[in-house]
Amino acid sequence: MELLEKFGIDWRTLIAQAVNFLIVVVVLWKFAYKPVLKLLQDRSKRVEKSIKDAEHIEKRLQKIEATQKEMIKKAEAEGQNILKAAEVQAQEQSAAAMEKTRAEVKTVVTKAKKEIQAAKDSLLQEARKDMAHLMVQALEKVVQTKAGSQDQELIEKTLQEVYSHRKQ
Amino acid sequence: MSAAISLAAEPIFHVGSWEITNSLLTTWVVMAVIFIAVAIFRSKRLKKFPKGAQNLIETIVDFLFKNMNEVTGSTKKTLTFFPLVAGIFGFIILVNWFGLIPGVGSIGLHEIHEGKAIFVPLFRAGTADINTTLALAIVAVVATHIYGMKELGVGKHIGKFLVNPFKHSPILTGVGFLEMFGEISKIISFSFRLFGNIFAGEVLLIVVTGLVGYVAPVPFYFLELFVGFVQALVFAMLTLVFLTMSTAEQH
Repeated sequence: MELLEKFGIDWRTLIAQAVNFLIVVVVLWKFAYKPVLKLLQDRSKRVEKSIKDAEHIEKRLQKIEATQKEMIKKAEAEGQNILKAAEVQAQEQSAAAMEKTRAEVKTVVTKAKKEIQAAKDSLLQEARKDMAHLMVQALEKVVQTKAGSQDQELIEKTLQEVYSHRKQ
Repeated sequence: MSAAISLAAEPIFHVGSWEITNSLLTTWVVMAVIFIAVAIFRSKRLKKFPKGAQNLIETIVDFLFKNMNEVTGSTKKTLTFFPLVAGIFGFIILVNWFGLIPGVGSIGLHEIHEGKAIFVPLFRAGTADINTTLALAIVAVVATHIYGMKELGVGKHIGKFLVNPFKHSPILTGVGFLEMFGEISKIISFSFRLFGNIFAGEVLLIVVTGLVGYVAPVPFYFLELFVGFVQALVFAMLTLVFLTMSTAEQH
């Protein structure tokens, strides 16, 4: 007890100091620490979030760039393919057109040949008929007699024979 | 100049039979200063880009929060203990430093006490009185028990100290008793560490000032500023350690 007295321990002062201390704790917490602590935590959260966002954005950017490159590559390849296909088609088309013209020309030529042949044939036939007639007239003059119809037939027959002979 | 340094705080006036001591008076002054400072601080809105006082408080809060996180290891626990631990730190450091203000300990009255002329200072650092430090220590230790019971449950918390020797090993019963004495020794070490440091500091400053009045005490003032900070931090951190221990699950 003497020790307590020497240190001046008084339970009333002790309780008073405890109460004082608790009041200070409450005041400091409510009005100084709490708002500042909240502010600090919000700030660190915001910083964290912005760092995360930045990372996210960078990742997305990289992804987009990669897809862009891929798309460009794809488009290039496609373009090349289309070009090749067009070339092939053009070649095919021109070949077909050429073939068609050639065929047409051929038919025209053959047709023309046939017509020429026919004209030639008919011309020859006519000429032959004329010749036969001429010969009959010539013979009539020579013989001074009018050749009968048998004579005409005979001459024509002879001419035909001669002609076919020559043809062979 | 001879200042009789009393171990106990000196009474200034009486309220009934209760002696209001100079340390209690000083504590009230400090409280008033804290309230005014807080009121001024709160009268301005908190800004996103801190300036002045907000910067200072932010630095203190950040410093305490980081140090506490290292001890508790979890932000959740730090947040539960922050009001008490940061309050202890703030209160003790302000009371400690207030004792260093010129006038505290030197402004006083000459009184005749029991036939002898003695000097009674009007102010005395709050923590240079065992009543204050003992009150702080009791609050801190009681708080560890309250938090322990809240976290683990009343039965489990008391079970740390009272172990049934027939259920468990009798050695654990003995350990439980030792733990109980440990709680009392915690209070004693808490209160006497703080009281001893601050009281010794006051004595040191008075002695040095008595020897060489000018310049020589300056380094000692710096030393006492540092001691005031360290003691506040030690008290707060030890409280935090005890809080963490008492709320931790036992293995």
